[in-house]
Amino acid sequence: MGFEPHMVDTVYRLITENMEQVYADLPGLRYRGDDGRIVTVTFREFAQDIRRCVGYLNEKLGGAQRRRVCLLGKNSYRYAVAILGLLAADSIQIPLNPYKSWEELHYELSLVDPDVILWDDANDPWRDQLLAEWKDRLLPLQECTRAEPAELQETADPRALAMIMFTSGTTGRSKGVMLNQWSIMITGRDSICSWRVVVERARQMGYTDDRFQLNHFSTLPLFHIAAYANLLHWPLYGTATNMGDARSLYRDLADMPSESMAVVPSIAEMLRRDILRDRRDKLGPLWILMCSSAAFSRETLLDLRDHGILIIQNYGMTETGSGGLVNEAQDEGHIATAGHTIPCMEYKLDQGELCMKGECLMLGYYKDPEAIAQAVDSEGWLHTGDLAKVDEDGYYTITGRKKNLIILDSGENVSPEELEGLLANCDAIRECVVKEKGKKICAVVFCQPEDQEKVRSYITRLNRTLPLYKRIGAVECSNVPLPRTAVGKLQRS
Amino acid sequence: MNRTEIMAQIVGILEDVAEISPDEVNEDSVLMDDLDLSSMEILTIVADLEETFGIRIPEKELRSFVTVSDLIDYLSARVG
Repeated sequence: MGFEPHMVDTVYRLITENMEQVYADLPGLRYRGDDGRIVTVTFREFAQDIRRCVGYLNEKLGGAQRRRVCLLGKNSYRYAVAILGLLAADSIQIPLNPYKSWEELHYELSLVDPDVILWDDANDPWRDQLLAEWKDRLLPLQECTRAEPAELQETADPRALAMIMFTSGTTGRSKGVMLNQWSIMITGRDSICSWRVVVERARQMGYTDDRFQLNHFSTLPLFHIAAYANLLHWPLYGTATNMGDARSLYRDLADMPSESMAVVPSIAEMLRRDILRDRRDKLGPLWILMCSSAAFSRETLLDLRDHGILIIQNYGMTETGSGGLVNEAQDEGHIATAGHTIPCMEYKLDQGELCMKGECLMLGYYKDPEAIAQAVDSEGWLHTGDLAKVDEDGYYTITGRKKNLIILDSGENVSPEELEGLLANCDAIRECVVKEKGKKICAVVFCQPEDQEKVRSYITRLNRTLPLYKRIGAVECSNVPLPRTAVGKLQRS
Repeated sequence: MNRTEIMAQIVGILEDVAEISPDEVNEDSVLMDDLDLSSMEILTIVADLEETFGIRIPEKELRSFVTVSDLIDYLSARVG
């Protein structure tokens, strides 16, 4: 407990020092159990379950080192245990998004060809398909804490491939970002700049060193880099993670009082409305928002700040192990920027495009040398696809996107081409462009005036087959062909 | 509970969660388009409906909720 973090740089040390010694008796994780009650797990108990998971993996795989293990499920305590367990076992883990279409998931599973799939069998939306094709490789997540605890060993090489995380590609197909544990741990170390600001505010609020433990609430999915990295970062600071469900956000927040919360723009927007409507009691002791995944409205951030909320922002990508820019500035001039640089990375603007390289950078895209050649140049610079400018104080502002990718308020990235491909199946649609408009996915369609209703009802039907975040929220019909660029491509903006 | 009563509950929740005036809501309203709801707000509305009607709505049903009438259809089948 206290203001000083215990910095370590490997997962082995995180478990054996932070969880089993320094913060052992503090709450490490809270979640809602199957009976509906909140379960609190100390760091020591969490570490013990991680050891059991390593024991389970070793037993089932006859040695888990370097074996490829897919993780398939929604957020749960067992999922969190499995993430740390797989890292501790030196396996290669692939957290998959279970909400994707079967076609996408099938592509990712086939590409990775895992040794086993740890899955949440009872709740998996693709249960039948998985059983039909991968039955012999499925292992239930709920069993992973039922083995004898294993002895742990320091990883042979913290820079070796430890994880493949799929991210939306700009051409429709997702890409498997290969990361090591080093890149994620080092980002945790470099985020200390924002921790100091948290401590300073805590002192002002009357917290003392011996009585300070932060409780951080998150509903963000662990198969995305932000929440995944946080799971590894918070034990550095002795902070407890309160695992909530987006579907019961307010109930979970009430039952797991939290000073800090991970938010994407759509959640920040709801919280702002609660505060402005004098419903702050719904939010409990919340005073810190950790903002990431997409750009936040300046007005929203200022409103929240003016009501006593400390705003911390992180700009990062899966390709950088979540690292990138950090912003803890509260002044009007900087609060809405993406932030300033962190020590483990180098930065440059190449024709306005933000480029980064350094210790956080991915090892590459799995089995996709063409994609890596496009994203990382011969000098090792990752071209982020974001256009940016930097001010005299070193704060970067994202001014636009070079890559054709929609980043939504939910933090999800959506490839317009993927949706355009689905729209092309409708005979009445002659041409279409999918773009972001007013924070929503908008389809601009060229069709005959008499076909407009047909197009709209096709899109309504299509939406019923898509996850919530991918839904086309606006349709604009045109009676004339859509504008094209000089080289004949459909114009996107 | 009949459709009118279910609709009244939905209208009340929409007003509470997203400050949408009852006049703007009808059965054909598309949640994300006409009512301008974010995916996060839809989840909050679903949570409120679960509480109001004392039911648990399975994850896979969420995909089918595109319009207000989708919600009413589902709820009347469960609690009507």
